[in-house]
Amino acid sequence: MAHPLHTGTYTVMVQDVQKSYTLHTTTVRALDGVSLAVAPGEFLAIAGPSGSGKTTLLNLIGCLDTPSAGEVIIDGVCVSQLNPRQRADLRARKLGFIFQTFNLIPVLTAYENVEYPLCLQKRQRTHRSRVETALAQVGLSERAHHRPTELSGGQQQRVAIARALVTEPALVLADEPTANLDSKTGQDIIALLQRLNRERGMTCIFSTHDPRIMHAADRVVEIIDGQLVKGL
Amino acid sequence: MDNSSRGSSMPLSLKLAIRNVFRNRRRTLITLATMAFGATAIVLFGGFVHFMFLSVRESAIHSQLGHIQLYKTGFSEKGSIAPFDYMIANYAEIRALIMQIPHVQDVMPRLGFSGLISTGETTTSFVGAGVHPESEAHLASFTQIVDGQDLSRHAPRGILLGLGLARGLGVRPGDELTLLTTTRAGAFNALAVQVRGIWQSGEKAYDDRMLKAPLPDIQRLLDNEGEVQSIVILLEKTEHTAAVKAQLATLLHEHHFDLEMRTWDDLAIRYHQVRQLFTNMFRVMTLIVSMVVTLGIANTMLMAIFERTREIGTIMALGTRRRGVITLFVMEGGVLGVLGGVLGIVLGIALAKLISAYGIPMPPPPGSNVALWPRSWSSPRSYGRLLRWPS
Repeated sequence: MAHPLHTGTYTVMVQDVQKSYTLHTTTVRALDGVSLAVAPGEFLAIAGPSGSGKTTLLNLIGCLDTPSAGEVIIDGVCVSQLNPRQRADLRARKLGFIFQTFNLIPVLTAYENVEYPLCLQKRQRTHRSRVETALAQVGLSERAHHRPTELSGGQQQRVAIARALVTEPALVLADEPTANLDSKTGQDIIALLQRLNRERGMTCIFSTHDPRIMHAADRVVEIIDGQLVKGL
Repeated sequence: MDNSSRGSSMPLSLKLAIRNVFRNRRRTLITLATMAFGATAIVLFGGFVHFMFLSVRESAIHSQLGHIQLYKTGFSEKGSIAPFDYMIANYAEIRALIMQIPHVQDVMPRLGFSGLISTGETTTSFVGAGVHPESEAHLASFTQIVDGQDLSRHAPRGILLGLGLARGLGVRPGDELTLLTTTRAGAFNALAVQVRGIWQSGEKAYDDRMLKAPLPDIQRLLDNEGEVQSIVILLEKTEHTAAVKAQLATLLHEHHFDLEMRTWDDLAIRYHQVRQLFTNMFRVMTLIVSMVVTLGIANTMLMAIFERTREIGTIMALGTRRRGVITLFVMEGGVLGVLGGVLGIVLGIALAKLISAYGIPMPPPPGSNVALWPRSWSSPRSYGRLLRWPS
């Protein structure tokens, strides 16, 4: 409860969060007292070697997991007080996800993949123009009716970005979005995220261990062995 | 906006379900085939069972029972002990009245009796009926004259034997026999007769003991002239039974006839036994087939779920609720089920039609000695009836 007055002014507040997993008989402490505040419109990189806790932190911020101790507050909402259904709704309304392996739904076309999160919101009428706008912003209007298998890795990740931003979320989370792409495509993807961040004021947190990419961020926090080295 | 079933919107989620079903085409085809074969088996077996009900019913009606029988009141209960106490004297008058009821095709008298039949060397017991030859031939369209000819008014003392009885006696058409029985007064009386024909009805117990003879001969033999024991009514269709029964009841009441009524449904004991047996068999088979098919679908769905854990994680990360994920898989199962069911029913009906067109030999139903050649297969309505649990 260090910053109760400030929760509203940050998009994300992470307060002294711990996360441990039990593997057989040993307890692994993935996050050990992490605190972090992300301002609206910020473009933040979480750096760190693999196994350092980047993904765990992103999963906690993304309400995919709950902390063992501490609080995660998204847009003023204390995540630990939500039930699974409310967390699902929060993800649908306020968060966008971009994954390392793109994770498009293989049986749906690019257009339908982008449409999917809108269908979860039941705003039927405006689907078409929003999906088209999102695809245009990632430069994939022409590939709208192709399935993921017919798209290159970079194109798939751009569809995933369109899918993440079509609902105009408060926060986009990208877990190593460039790890499965060649460096040129990876830089293009980060440039695209950066442009959307600038143009639309979209708050974005991405994790990476690639130094060339983290320089694009407004701020870089580094996490090693479950603890923030630079932060707040 | 964000209420109740935020599973996913209808069209896209249905699209997703259908495409997922056909994602692994070979597996889906195998699952569909499992269901289709199951449904086909149920359709075919149901059709056969229904056909058998119809044929056992119609054979009972058109070989022995007719649709409705009338007796003197009290006959059903005590007639077997004192048959002569329950005779109908005014048969001609009653027949004329009944013939006026719509859908009545024929009305005929019967006089039951029993005794011994002898070739001179072999003697055995029988159950017989004095009948009106032409009407009885009209009624007994399901019995087959396997040797000789049917009864005739113009051939007095010419009798018909059931196949089993004729075999037991070792007689053929043209052979002379003696019937021995007791008259109304209790005296012994005998009648020399000639075998005119041998019939087979399909019901073995009936064919093993039964003979038919022209009514006037039997009335004379029993010293019971002018009287009959029962009146058998033949209708155009079995479905008319209830309507005619109602009209008949009114008629009997209006004319103060002291008669009781039995329909084929009351009399066809074997029909009810067969029906009970096969209805239960059908239910058990349906249950087993359903189980097999259900397990088949469950296996396919489980494989689909295990293969797609990452995808499930993705759509949940996008904000799909747990229930939305379950809905998706239920829809996939539903799509599979509907497809398999429709396929099976279409296949089943097509096969049933084919079988109906050509006929296939089936073993005789219990208590019967004639194999079935199923031809007229069932109507959809009959399945409802088969599956209904007895109340």
